[in-house]
Amino acid sequence: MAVALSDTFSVNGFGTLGATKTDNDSMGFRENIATDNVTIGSWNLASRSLFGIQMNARWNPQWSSTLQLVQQQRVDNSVANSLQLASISYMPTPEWALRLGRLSPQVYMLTDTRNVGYGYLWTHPPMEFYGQLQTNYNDGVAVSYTRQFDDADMFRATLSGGRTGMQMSYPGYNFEADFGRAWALTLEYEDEAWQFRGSLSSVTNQNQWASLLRQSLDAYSVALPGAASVSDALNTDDSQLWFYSLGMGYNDSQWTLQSEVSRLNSENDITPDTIAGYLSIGRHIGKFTPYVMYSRIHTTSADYQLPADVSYYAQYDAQLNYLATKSLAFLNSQFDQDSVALGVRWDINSHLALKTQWDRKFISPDGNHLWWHIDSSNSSTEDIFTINLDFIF
Amino acid sequence: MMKRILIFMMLMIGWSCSVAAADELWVIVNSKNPVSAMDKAEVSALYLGRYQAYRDGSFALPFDQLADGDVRETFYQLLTGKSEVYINAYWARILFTGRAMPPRQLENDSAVLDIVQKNPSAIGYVSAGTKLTGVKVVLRL
Repeated sequence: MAVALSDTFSVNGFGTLGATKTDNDSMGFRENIATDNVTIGSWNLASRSLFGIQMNARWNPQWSSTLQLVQQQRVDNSVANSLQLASISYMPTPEWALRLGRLSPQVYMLTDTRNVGYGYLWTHPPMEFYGQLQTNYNDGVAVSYTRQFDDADMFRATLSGGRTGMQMSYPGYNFEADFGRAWALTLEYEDEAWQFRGSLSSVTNQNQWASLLRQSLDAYSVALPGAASVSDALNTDDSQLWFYSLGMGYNDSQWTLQSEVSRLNSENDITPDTIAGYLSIGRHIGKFTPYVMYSRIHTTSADYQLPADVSYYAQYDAQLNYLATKSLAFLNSQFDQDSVALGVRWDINSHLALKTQWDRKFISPDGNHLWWHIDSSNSSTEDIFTINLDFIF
Repeated sequence: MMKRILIFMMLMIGWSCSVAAADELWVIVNSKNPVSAMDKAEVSALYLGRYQAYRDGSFALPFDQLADGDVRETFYQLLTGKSEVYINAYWARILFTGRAMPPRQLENDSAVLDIVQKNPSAIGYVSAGTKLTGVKVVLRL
């Protein structure tokens, strides 16, 4: 890896050339709710294709800096949004490290390397686990403490805080949220074969579209007390999302295992409370690694019911009906689906891997909000086919 | 964009792996370094970016050999029992988070020897039998 430009500077890069196909023309598959890069039916070449370049500078053992740009199809491809990393790192001692600038968010095991397909086994991180994430970077600071034990085991604790960039995308509704305050505590333990990770993180969430809906609903609230209560339910001001997660990985010359479980507690009624998890098992056979994966997400918060007066008058008032429908779409956006996946990774050489994967997804009625849902809310089974060529240099 | 990626891919596929492997490797440090011996665990912690210092607490600066060369493949096999493919994927997960950088890669034994002679913090590995001056062997693999 790496192109060394001098003793101090080096350049690395990564990328994916991928194609995705689904068996359904009515619902769009995507990796997460932040993206409008959707596959509906026929092969989509842009679904996973991306290119990232990283410039590293190591000034001396204590000081280093990193700049990373990622080009891909997404809602906002401005330079500011393409900039994934821009950080300065300082290590006063081998145990302590301080990083400042644009950092990768620390929510789950792969949150900070979701773009680097070469780094993981599958064609894409499980939708059921990573699909609900809206955060893509973190402007702030991270402090970590690393302790090494005699037998090469490592323990690391990282505390980070700052402001995060967030996005959510649905048909006709695409927004970049106001930057939210974010912080995370991550504990990691690693030895030759095992990796364990636990984290607690929180992001302040604000939904601008919901705020616009609230203004319109408030106009009705004098006549309809129910409208005020819908408006209250849509209030996201300064509410926090709490993420709790545990993850483990195992790798030896024969087997590769990875699993994570998480709980998301939302202080607002728009982002649903969820539990999610996955387990992946792969077997190394020469340059090939066939694998299976099971993943699941389940919404634990209850459905929102419109107040009786709002439902009643909505029948006679088109504007109110529109507001009520939109409000329900926000308040009942649930994630409920299971998935099994089969795939194989072929390591062509130490820079290039070809992967292919088939996913079968079982989606509950009303639980399809990870999808770009064009059609309504029947339970369904979806097949996804992906093929990726991932590289690093 | 797509075309550029494709051309790049073709270059990468052409990047072939060599097969011949050195039998034994020596891990070397500067002769002024107070460290006299290291075990596999310590060396692998440095080369996998888990830890950045020698046992006495002073910063360590590891140097690697070129990717796809037989020396590097052998080194990681002997040190960690893992393939170069695994090591690259492992580093891809760390490097692109901006948390640590992999050891700088040098062309051959003599380039490694040269930098370890000059830098008291440096650690490197060379084929067994390389003529050594100004450095000492801390681990034989």
